[in-house]
Amino acid sequence: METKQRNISGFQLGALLFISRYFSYMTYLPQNRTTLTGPTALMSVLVAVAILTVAFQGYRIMCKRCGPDLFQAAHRVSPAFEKLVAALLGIYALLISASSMAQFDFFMSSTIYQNIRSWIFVIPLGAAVAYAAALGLESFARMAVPAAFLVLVTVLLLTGALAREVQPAYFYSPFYDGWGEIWEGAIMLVAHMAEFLPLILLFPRTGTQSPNKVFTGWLGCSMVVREWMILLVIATLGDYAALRDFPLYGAASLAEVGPFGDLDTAHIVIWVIVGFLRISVYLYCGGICLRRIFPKGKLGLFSSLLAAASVGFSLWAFAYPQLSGGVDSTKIAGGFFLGGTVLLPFIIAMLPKARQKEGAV
Amino acid sequence: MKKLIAVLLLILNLTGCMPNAKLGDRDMVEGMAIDKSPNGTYKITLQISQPEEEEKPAQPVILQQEGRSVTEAMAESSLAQGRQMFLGNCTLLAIGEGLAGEDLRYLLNFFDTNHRVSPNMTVLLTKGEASELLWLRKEIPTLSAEHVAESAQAGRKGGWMGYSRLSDLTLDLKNQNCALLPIVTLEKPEEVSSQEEGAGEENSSQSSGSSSQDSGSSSQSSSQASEEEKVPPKLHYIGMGILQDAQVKAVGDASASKGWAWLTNSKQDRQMHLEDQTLGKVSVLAYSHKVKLIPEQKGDLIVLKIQLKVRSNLVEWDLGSGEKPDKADLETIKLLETRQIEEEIGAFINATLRKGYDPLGVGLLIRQKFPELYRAWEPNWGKNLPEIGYDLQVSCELDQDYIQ
Repeated sequence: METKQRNISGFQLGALLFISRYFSYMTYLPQNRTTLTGPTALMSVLVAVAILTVAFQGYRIMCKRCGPDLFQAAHRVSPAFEKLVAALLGIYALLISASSMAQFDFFMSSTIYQNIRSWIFVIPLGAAVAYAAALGLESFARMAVPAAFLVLVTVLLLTGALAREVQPAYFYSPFYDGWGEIWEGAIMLVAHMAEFLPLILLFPRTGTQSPNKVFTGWLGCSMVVREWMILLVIATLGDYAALRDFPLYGAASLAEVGPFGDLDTAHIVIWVIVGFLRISVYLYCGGICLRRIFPKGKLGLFSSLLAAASVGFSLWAFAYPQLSGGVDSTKIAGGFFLGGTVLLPFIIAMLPKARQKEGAV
Repeated sequence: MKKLIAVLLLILNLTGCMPNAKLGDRDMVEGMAIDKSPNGTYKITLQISQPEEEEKPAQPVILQQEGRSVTEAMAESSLAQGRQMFLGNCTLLAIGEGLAGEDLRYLLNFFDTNHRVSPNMTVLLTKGEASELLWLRKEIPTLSAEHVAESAQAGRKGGWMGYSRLSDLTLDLKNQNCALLPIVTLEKPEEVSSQEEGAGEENSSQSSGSSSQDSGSSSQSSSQASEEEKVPPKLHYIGMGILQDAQVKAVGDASASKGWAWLTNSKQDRQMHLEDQTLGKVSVLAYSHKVKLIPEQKGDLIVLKIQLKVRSNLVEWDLGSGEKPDKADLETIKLLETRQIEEEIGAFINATLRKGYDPLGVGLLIRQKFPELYRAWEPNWGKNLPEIGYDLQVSCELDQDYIQ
């Protein structure tokens, strides 16, 4: 269990955020409308990068004026305000960990093992991620670096293996569906960019003052991989990619790598590692938010409670998919993104009381 | 970190043998045939591989069940055998003629959503009952479903057809709402002999070129014939089924099927027999080809430029004079080869594109190059497609090794 706070490097945080973002590429479901696929998405990603860069300025200004720790800055305004901020961000973290667990469950029980009850996946996963979150940030942040390397190797393998399946006729102009569709895609992508939350909450643990490097490195890397994945999926599945669940998995099952056979098994292994790390990081974020509200509580207890809530949500989502789908909607996710990670740091930066006193660290 | 890795390793077990079934509790399905039963249900036939034992060779099990869906028929099969049917090793899916007029979407969804099914599985349409293809193994133990699938691959490599994998079928239907499937038939000995007697040059080359596997089965058949005075049926590729809206809407003959092979950029070694009164007889092996499809706008007309470059080798000749071919002969051979390829591609275009079927994805190419035009045409694509013009440019290169 986490006994004392240890810092992580900016590189480790970037890798963790990259892994978390990669999870969302793997979980494309056409009915959820959380992102687009197809050539339009290529442009949407570029527009989203521009929007995210603007959106990040709120936290950047806060770092300059009040220091990188959002909770400390809120505390300087008032302890009650700090608790309010922690509650808002805690709910956001819980929402992401719960919906990620539900997506993990859905993939496993709809695509891989169709006749298996969903609790068989989520309960062990819930226990594992609660434990990982309780161990503390350093443990899973360190693991994120080799995991990110593994992801990149898989992407390269997939690219090589799918080269002969490429159909150039599947490409068409990204402007074919018009700017309206491009904007919609960009807004959906931005609204579900939950990685701003761990970036804001965990950046102070890197011990550096400017978040620019971590932000640029993470966003640049994630978006290059995203664009590449979109290209790969379009090239091999065409328009069908937009209609089928988990198109990346579909592409992986087409790929054959010498004696290893197709890459779907590798994809499943990567899926588990990525899902495990993503849920752990949001549980941890939720845990530190709860600790701001209840300072005497233990992180292990908080992460267990949040994991139990995520498991419960996942089982409920599996039983009532129509009801639970709304939780992951662009409006709700976008509301939390905008309110919690864009406007909130900006508002705090504007509050005179939140400013860091000169000489304070 | 070490603790976390241990936890992750435990979690990775979720990717393992979750629906635990011992190997002995599973039946390995090698091939599957689906027909329509007289009462309108699906009749599935499964060829199940059996492990070889020391003293006796493996005896294949052929199982037949009916159901309102493939899933139901599979469940019935599992119940009948007392084992789980494992489709991970299934290399062949044969669809019977009776299902050709049906909407195959329902059936194909079963394979598309079942992650154990390999997307590289060979899919064939059969003339008559598809199950006959699997029952054949009872007569010829070596003619397994895997052999038939390999034969189809050999047929593709031999230039008799285009791709016939499950993934090609699914993707073509999803992306261009049109796909092609090779049609095979089992010819009974009487049919073979009568056809061989009356058939022209094209037919005889078709039967010899159906595949290496095919000739393998013929040699076996002759040895068996001497023993039992009974010649088993032969497998022939007779054309292609044209699927639109997941339904077989039309068929193309063997010549159109060869045209299809020229228009796919897959590696093939196509042997062609060319004959001319002044030249004599020659055989060439087209070992490489590259095709480019380029839509062009000429006034109000869209023209699909088809550029095909073929490289061939002269492998056999009988020029009457007994001499090697000279430069002028090579030019004539190139001309004959070009003409035959143009005829085959023409047969393909007439069977498909001219009738409003788009297995080549011409619509996708037009969307790529003329998006506005495609947007206007898309709602009525089937009617607009036959209006497109074709500019076929075939260039054949013959290796000069044999020049005198």
